[in-house]
Amino acid sequence: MRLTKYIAVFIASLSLISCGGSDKPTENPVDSTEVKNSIDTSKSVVFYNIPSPLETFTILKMSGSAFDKSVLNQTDKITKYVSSFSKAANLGAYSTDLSFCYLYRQNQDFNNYLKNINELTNALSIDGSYGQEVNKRLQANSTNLDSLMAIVTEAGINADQYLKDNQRNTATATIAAGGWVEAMYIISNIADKTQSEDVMGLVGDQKIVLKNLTNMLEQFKADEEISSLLMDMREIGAIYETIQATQNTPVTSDKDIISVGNNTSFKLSKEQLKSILEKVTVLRNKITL
Amino acid sequence: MKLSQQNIKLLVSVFLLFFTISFSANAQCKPAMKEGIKKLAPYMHNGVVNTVTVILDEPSEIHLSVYKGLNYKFQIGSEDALGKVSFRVLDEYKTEIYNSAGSNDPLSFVFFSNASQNLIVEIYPMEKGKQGCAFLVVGVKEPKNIAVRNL
Repeated sequence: MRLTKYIAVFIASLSLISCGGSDKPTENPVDSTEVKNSIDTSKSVVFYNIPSPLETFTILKMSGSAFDKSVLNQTDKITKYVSSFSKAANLGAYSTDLSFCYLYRQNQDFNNYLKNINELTNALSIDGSYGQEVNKRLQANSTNLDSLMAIVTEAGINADQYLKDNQRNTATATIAAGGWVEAMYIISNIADKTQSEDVMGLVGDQKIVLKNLTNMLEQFKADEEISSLLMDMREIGAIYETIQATQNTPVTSDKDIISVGNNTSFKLSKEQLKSILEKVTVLRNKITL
Repeated sequence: MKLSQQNIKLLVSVFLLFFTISFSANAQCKPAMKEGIKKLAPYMHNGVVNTVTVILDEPSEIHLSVYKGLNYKFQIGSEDALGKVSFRVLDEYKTEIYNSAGSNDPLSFVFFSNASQNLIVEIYPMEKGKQGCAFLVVGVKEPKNIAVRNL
């Protein structure tokens, strides 16, 4: 069981791997006279990434929100996931659930999600990155969280390599998308239940995350299922288009650290949150069945 | 234009060679990346793996989202075959925020994000004619002023 646990933690990191590689023209070209240091990036190779579930739930935890098991995908649904797309998307979803349990130190639930992740990983034949030697190291360091994280990260790098070597970027993108939808479902529900301004802000922040995610998925839209996923995400994006950035009073950062950004945030109304939650629930139900 | 059998074979060979180079380059990145993750301390690695293959003098772009209210550390690195790299951080309108050229620590950038935003990290090879794997790893830390999200 211990080995299974570590294998699953490593798989959680799969949902965090960057996707990309296509040549992409500059979006929304701007007048070079208006923007200083503007450059021609038309020849650049572009990769997209979104925040890890761990990052998102760190913000959630900072808001004081409590663990809520009821918003997680049920582990007994795993038998429903038959197609490769369904397995990959729910591997992402379960990985997000695992991260949520990990951050809130829910050991039993953590183990249950780990078991599912291991099963889906095997079903998708994502292997070759986790040898017996790594498992031995994990066992030897099982009580040292920092060491464990270092080994898990290394395993994640191996997984990244494995998927790239096998040209399975579509699977990687599907895992990432499934993970984001699950994270959205969790934070939107918690925002709706608590009406916490901070959590609503975190849902609002997903406007910019969704932009990167859809750009990432665009590269794989030839895939019918990813194309369908993109359509659903654009519907969520349409609601986000109604949310404008609000200017905030500049805050002082920690000493000696440069402050980056325009001090804006995306504040949701209760109605906008409801609309997003409805769309996200529909999409999440399509994925988790 | 019709391609001869020989040309097709040549194209296929070049194509396969490209992938061979690309993948072996990524594999070579792992030791450097492990070091890069160590250099994130005391920032917590967010677990994200960002590897890119820099091809023949062209910059690689990584588009990533950062959250409002966290301190971030970007750490860049590359495999030996690629040689030294430089990087720039741009906002989504391509306005330069940071340029590693001339920096005391040319492979890292530490900042506080006062807004949730999409940033672009451009990685350039510093030596002409080289290609290989480069990476970006990201560390996060709660600022001492944790009330910054309550804006």
